[in-house]
Amino acid sequence: MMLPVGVVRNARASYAFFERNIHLTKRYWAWEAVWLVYNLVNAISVTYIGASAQLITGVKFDTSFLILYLLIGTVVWSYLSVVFDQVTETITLERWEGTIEYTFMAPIARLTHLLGSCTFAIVHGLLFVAVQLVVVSFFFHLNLSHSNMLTAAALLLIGSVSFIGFGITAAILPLLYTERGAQMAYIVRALILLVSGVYYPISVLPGWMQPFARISPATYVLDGMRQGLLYNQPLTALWSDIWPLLIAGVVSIPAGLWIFRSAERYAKRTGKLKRNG
Amino acid sequence: MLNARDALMESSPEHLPGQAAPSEEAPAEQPFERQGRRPLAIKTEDVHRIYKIRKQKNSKGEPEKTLVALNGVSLEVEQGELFGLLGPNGAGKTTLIKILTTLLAPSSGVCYVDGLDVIKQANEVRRRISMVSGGETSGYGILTVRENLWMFSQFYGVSSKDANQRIREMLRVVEMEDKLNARVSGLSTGQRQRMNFCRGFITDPSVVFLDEPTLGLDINAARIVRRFTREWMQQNPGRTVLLTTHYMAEADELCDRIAIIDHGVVLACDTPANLKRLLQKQPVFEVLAAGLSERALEPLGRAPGIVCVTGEVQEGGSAYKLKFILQDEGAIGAVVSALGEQHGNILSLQKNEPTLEDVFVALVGRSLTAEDHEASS
Repeated sequence: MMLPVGVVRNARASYAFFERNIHLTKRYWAWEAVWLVYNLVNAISVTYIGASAQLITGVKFDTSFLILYLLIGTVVWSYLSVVFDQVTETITLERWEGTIEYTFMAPIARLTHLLGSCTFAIVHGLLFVAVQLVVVSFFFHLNLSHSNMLTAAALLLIGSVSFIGFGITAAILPLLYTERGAQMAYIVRALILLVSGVYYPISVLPGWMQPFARISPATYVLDGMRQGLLYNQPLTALWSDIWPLLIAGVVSIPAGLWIFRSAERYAKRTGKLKRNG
Repeated sequence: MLNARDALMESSPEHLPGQAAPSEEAPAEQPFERQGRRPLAIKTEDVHRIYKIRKQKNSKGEPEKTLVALNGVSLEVEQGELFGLLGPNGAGKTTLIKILTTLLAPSSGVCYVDGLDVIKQANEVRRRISMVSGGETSGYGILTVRENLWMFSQFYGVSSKDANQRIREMLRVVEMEDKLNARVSGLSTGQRQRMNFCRGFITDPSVVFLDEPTLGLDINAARIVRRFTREWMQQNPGRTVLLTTHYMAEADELCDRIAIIDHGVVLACDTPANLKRLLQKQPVFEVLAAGLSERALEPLGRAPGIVCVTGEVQEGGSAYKLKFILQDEGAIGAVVSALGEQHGNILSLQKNEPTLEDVFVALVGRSLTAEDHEASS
């Protein structure tokens, strides 16, 4: 059965963005290496907090649980950061390279543009995380024999969808603010880090922050992955984490696209669709 | 005293030359198909574009400030035309192109490309157009020429086989076949511009917008670009090009019709020959005179029979090259007298056939200044 011409054309265009990002990643390998080392050092440092907890507190307890708890947080955060950054930099990159006008006047749906970039972001993020886990495992003797890896992987992928939606929404910042928009997107990321229970349970947050924790998809990804890796919970037992992620995914991507298209229309009205400088 | 611009306007019909008179407009149900004439590729109706520079009163109480980039532009470009848009920096040329290429919304008015509304049918318009801007260095620097061009070809649905073939062909045309696998960051400015020129044509568009495409190119590269544009139009009779340029000679050489625009207003629109013919009623004399000061220009311009005078100091600063547009040839006597009164010593005097630049000067009131040329080079 032949696919409609429009579907083929958009798929081809999406792949063009995906391939472009592969080439850019390969050629900017030094920057990739720096970023990988930075994330590795960050992951190892935070995980050492778990390893040193007995020394710090003077209380004897099984630190392996705490080590894995913190490691899940750093790995998930690293993955979500890579995905979020790749999506929000979609516009910044175009401005920097002077191609924003040509990309925005191409006959491709904005979804096509973002889908290619987002797909690459997920693949890139997963590879990043895989390398991190391998390296970190040399520093700590991790016992994953009682961990449900399938649950962890599934939660990560389901959560990616909603995180892409948030990323698309944040991508309007470089669209609307030509000089500082990319930096403004970091604020969004920082707030998600604070409220999502990356390094601590969300119950320790003040009462007024709890609602924000409940609407962050990262909260459910982290909780679900910890349930799977620390307590060997199967996916079927984690409906309380899955349904918020499904709703977030179903809502955040269309909402993100609507917001992005509105921002694009505003940028066209005000003349902001131009390269930097 | 008759102002040059008024003189041109008076000699034209109520509508600007080249624009459709009301009686020539096509029936409403088929606005872009015109009996006996080629359909329209581009049509703008009373387009305004206003930028808000300051949205509200500032701390000093100064009111909202706006910049009018386009002030009621109405143009019609037929299919198969190579249409030129001439104007100084800030005239509104790029603003108009950005509106027609769906990158900017007009404040009011309607624009059509290939019969499609650029706002309501933006995606359909985008399938049919491409744009090449001059003096730019855009492109993913770390990717190769082939990777850059291939990527953009995919946005327009060109198959891989066709894309690779067109890329090779276009690079051969612009004499860059050996740069196929070179990184864009290693190209010179001129080579980058040629690469972007290729990008504009490999998608086989119906309408191409060239925004000063030879800006920053050396003579040879500019010649290649102009030759290709001409040949492409000849080989593809139904295709349309809208070209903006600072270079009068380029506009004169390439364009079927030219619109002269300044401060967002189209001052004239016709073939180069007709535009010059409008001015032929007003003879142009070039005088090289010594002993003049800059203050002498104003009294010279007030002399009877002189429509307009511009002057340039020659190298060495010892003489002025003056260009006089006169009401009639008889006024040359007044020129000589006026020069004498200003203690000018005439070194040479010759009559010029009007050029496009003369038309430009007559309409805009000044030539493309050295500043404009520096900005454009």
